[in-house]
Amino acid sequence: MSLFESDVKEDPVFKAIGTRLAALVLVGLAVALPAARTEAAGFALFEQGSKGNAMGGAFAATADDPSAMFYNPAGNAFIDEFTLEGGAFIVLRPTARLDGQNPYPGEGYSANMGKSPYWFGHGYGVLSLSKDVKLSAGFWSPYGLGVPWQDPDTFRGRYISQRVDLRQLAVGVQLAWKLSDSIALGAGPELRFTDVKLGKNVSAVDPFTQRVVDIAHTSIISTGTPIKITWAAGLLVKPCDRLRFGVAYHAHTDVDITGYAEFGQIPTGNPQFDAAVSQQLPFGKQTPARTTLQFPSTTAFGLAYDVTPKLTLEADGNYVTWKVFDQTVLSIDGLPDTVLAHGWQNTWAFRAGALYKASQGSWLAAGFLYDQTPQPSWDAGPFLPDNNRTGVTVGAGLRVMKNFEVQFSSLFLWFHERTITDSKDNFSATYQTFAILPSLDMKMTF
Amino acid sequence: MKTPNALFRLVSAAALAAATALPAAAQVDLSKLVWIGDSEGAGFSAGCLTKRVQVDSPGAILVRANGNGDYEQPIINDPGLGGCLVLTSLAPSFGNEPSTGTPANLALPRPYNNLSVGGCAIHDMVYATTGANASPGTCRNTIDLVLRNAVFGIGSQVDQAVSLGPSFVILANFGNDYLGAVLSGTIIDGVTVTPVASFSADTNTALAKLKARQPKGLVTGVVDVTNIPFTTTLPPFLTSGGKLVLNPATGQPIPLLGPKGCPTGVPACPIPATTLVTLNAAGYLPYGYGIPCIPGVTSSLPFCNYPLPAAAIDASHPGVLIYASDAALLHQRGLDYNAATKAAAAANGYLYYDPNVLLAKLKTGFDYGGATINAAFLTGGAFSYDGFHLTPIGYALLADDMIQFINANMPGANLQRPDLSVYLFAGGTAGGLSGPYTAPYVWAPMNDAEKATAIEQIFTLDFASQLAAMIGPHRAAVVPGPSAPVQRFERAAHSDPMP
Repeated sequence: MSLFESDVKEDPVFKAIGTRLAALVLVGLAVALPAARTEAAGFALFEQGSKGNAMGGAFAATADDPSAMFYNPAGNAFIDEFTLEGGAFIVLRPTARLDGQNPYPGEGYSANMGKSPYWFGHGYGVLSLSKDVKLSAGFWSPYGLGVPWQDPDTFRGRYISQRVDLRQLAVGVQLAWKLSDSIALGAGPELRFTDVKLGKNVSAVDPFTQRVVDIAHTSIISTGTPIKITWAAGLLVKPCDRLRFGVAYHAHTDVDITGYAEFGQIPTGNPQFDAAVSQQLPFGKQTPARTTLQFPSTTAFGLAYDVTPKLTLEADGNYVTWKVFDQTVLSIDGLPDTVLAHGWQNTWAFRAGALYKASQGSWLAAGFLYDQTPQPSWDAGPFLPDNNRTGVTVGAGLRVMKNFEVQFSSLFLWFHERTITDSKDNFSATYQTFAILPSLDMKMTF
Repeated sequence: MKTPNALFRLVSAAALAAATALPAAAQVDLSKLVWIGDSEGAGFSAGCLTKRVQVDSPGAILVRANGNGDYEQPIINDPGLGGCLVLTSLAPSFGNEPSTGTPANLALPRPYNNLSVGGCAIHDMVYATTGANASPGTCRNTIDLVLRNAVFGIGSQVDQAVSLGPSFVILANFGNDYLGAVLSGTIIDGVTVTPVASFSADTNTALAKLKARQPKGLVTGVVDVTNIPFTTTLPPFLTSGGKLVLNPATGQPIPLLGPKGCPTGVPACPIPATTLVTLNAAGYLPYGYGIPCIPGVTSSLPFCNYPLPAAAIDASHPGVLIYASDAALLHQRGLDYNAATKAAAAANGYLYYDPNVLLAKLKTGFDYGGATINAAFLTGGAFSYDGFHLTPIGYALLADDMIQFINANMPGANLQRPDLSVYLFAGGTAGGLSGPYTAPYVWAPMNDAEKATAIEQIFTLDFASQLAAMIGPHRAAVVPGPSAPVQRFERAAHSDPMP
């Protein structure tokens, strides 16, 4: 595979992680984990189970299936049977485009992101150690970013980013302890595996033509899948039969990433200039590179109320400390450090959901969410055009057999249109994105 | 019930009238823009005036971005006049296109909107009507192509501007009142440098006449001629391969040689580090002028140990050294010109635009979607091969900066910014100097040794740092390297070879 193909094509994701995962996940779910696409603000992912997703992500106080490992680790204290759950989300983006503005990239110019679907998976298992203590293990994708621009060699943001893929996999083991019928705690460590790739072109002014030309393509690719240990905890309180309150916390991580930068020369057509350029960049070599990425902590607050024995309403607020992502320093051997300012801010997301328990263990759910972007307008651009978003969700769980449940959900997510005129890269554009995330989960109890 | 309805209609009508009248009164109307100025306004680039660049003169870009108003220019068909410089090798060496361009728009039965005449100073803009009473040089040689007073008899640039009844006026005198002193290397106050008093008087006269016809307009200051690539590219030290040559005995750089401050009987001595060496030195250095004779190293150069000239020898052989005292005079004169222009603008209600603010930004560099444009010679993209005229990219940046300035400083102004992508990637709307004109010029393919030299000379530490800055996902601050960047230019560009 040539250098130019190395980072702009899909490749098997997290194969190495998958291998380790198989050993780590106690329930032995054999679910691969392909690329993720950010669907919560920033590059967080909040879609970690069909039931929680069907309720708009408002699940911290309900948390009554194994995906509680993500939504609220205390929730599993109330699961009495050995339960396995696994599933995946698909990310479809019918609309993901930018329309240029003057002075650059110019009015009348537009570009689309690649429409090939992403998918990401999760798997959880809960084992009862005693009446009040439960052991759970699982994996999920708390963070992910995939921004591939179509026609990367003519994309006018190609000197900023042609494609970026950032993926993080969490593997966790938790203990949930039911202190009483009304209070439970849960906590445990998480291993985070992180992978990042970036592809972009490098420009220069051709002295012969006095035009901006592409002189190189560079790929910056992490290696070694760094592992970072962090932790999660949750509290679930049932002060009365109908009311529940939940708090869940996932700690932040700073991940030191090492890898390499590769440069491939792009001929300009002028042999003198090309010869000169070839002397300046380490073409054909892998130059060591490193950076540290900051992943924020997430705190979820949830309040659920059983309006009737069959109908539950829940409202949640999620606080994410995105301020940790204030800048990124990229170091490539032999070159000056590159400092990328981000200036992100902490955010709130608001979620609400309704769950209707039908007969024989089946259920229907719907939800709504509003998610703030942490990204200031000056940082928004081809690398990550984030924005506030509004979503609605629907879903259902069908008990097809006594011990086997199939769950479906779908998130319809509208990114608010965002016009950027103060970009730090002088890249002025209006961004529009609409995404659909259907999911399928299977749940078995023993 | 009728009374409230009538009142409502009255109030609505008044509000509508106010809403439409107020913006109209404050809008900037470029439908009949008139530009009075010099070679930058005319669209000179790389030493010539040619259609490929004229179509992207700053005034043309302004108008095109804002409704395609009527903006007639004295277009010169390609290959233009003046012999456009063409980079023939990265050594670097240059060739010239033929200077055989013909006027394309000479029969326009009214004055041009773009009345800019290359080489003209403020006095020419106010008073010169034909070559007979214009400053010698480009102004004298080309003014009749622009003003055509043999047909119209209207008068100077300012007079013709007034006769057009402009909707907006730009008076852009970027510095011929003292640029000639730099180009000739001969700084004589009152001779090659216009005194402040007469500059101020002429500027006030121009603005008073223009204001009487059109009260909305903008006047520019002059560019600091000690801060353009023509005067800042070459270091005052001996270089090799783009790097300073250090004296093995002292570890210090080796100064070039000049004629001033030398002991009696010594014709050449080291120039102070504060001396500006102009790009015209490229005509002298290959022969050894200004280079100390070092046995076995430079002693083969026929004129080593001869000084670089600090004043013009004749019309074909300019001075190339600007000593600190002269540089200070020029710098201060630019400040004085601009103070006078700013005062005149205030007195006449015109906006004052300082191009040195843009120049300072260019020195730092503009980043458009990760593509960097800066003021560096050859590799920066904004300045053309002559070191003082802009490229179409540079003109687009100038027009864009002016638009932002007008919008920020003129109440109600909402001018649209240009689309820069065509300038960045295509060199301009007509391709710039690398556009469709393909007539033959001297192309000098390099041998391996020359190529190696070129690589070292052009792609300096500065260039490497720029490249490094581009590697990150976004443009970033460049961490300076261990030694200062040095650029070098050693082949003829502007002068005939010596001797």
